[in-house]
Amino acid sequence: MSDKKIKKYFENMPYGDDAKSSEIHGQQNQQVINQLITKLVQQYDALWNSGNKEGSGQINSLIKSIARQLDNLRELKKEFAIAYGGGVGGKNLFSNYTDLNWDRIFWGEGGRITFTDQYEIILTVLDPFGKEISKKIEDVTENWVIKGTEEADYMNYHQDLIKQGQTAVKHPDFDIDWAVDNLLINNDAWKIFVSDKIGGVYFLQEWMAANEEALMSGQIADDMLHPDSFDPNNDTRLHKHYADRLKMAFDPSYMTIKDGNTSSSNVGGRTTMAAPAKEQPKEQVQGPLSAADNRVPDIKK
Amino acid sequence: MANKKASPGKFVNAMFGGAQRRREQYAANEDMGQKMTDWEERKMVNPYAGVKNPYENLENVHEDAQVNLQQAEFQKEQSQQSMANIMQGMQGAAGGSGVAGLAQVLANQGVKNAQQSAVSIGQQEQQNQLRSTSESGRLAQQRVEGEQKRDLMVREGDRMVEQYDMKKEEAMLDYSMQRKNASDQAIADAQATVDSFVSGAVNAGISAAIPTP
Repeated sequence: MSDKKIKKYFENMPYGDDAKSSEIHGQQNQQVINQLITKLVQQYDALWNSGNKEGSGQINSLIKSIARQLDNLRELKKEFAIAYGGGVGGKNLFSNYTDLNWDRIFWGEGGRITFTDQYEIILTVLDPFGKEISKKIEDVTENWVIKGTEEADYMNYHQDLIKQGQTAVKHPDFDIDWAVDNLLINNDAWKIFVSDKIGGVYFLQEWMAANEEALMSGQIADDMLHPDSFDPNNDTRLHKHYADRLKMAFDPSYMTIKDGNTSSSNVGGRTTMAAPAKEQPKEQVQGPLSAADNRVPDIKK
Repeated sequence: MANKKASPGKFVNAMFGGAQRRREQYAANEDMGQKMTDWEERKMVNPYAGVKNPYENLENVHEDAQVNLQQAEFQKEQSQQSMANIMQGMQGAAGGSGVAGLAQVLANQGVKNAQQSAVSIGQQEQQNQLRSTSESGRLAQQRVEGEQKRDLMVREGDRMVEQYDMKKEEAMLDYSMQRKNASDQAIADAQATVDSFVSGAVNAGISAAIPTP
């Protein structure tokens, strides 16, 4: 189901808060659930009438268990609808990292509900490749990544560093690498930083553009293309991108100085942000900051 | 067959043709011996020995099939076009789950047709796997059938060699028996001619010595 269709579905969903948990997944699923419950109730009645209280008690527990599962499923549907931006003009809070192909189909009443021998609910959809994908209720939210304040947190650092860069200080008042590391790793926020727009920039697209040649010549192995490969616990590509952006916010010429470009070294950047390996001993400068502070020594001399 | 009737002409032939017969017999024996040696030394080789199974080392051409990313046609914005170009150019990495995951995220980012690209990649991956599996099965069957044919041919060749050797031995036995019989017969014939002439002459002499009453 397409993005438009599922949004339209939620805008016009014919169920309210008082809807039964068995009816919100479409008529066909409701029939399946009702048939099973009817059968169980008949068994319950028969056992009760024959005086088998233990048996009837077990059936009673089963019916309640199914009801609980269906209630949980209803809550998940609500959560999905809210996060997906249900309603007019709603904002989609799901990260682009989340593969919602299954969800769009199931929550739009395109899935099938069945029961295992143990009366556990199984939710099945036919994916775009024509393959059936089944999930248990507890697996539904497994891959959900919902955006929080990650972008705002990062951009606060960014704004702060721009302000600090306007002053005469030579170092930011916090360690950029440490701050970025925490931002990426806490709550697995790196998944959002890989996939979503942060400050108007998609990391993945930037990374692809920067590595176009290597990508097109097949120099980058397939497993290094998967979004999971950017997990900062195992890889530094993501960290480098976001740390460099913050360093440039403080010192706009950071990157060019780092790359050895001396022509722009006195545009306003700070040599302190340049790569330590390229720094050479400077003459002692007395008094306030001067342009000489920003000059990178010519290493060719 | 022995000539029972005494005849001076035959006797003369029997007495004076011996050397010529022996020369002929000698030459025949020489020739025969040479040919026999050649024949004995000629060994039949299994014509199918070393036949190889032509299907043995066939490669599955669908095994390394690549996903064609050119189906993804990205247009419109420059960045999208740029992403599209990169995706199209990523032939080296295509076909794996990494590029599919990448395409999925790009699709979620709204990169035009990336979703189609992701679906297309997924479908092609599935098709490639199916083709590869099917081709593997076909090749395995060909290999087995080819091996069976090769084995049958080699066995057929062994049987032909064995049959040839048996026929050769039979024929050589035949020839040696014929030769023995022929030489025995020639000597017996010559002896019989001489015996017949001698006994005829003796009988004639006795008849002449005894007067008729």
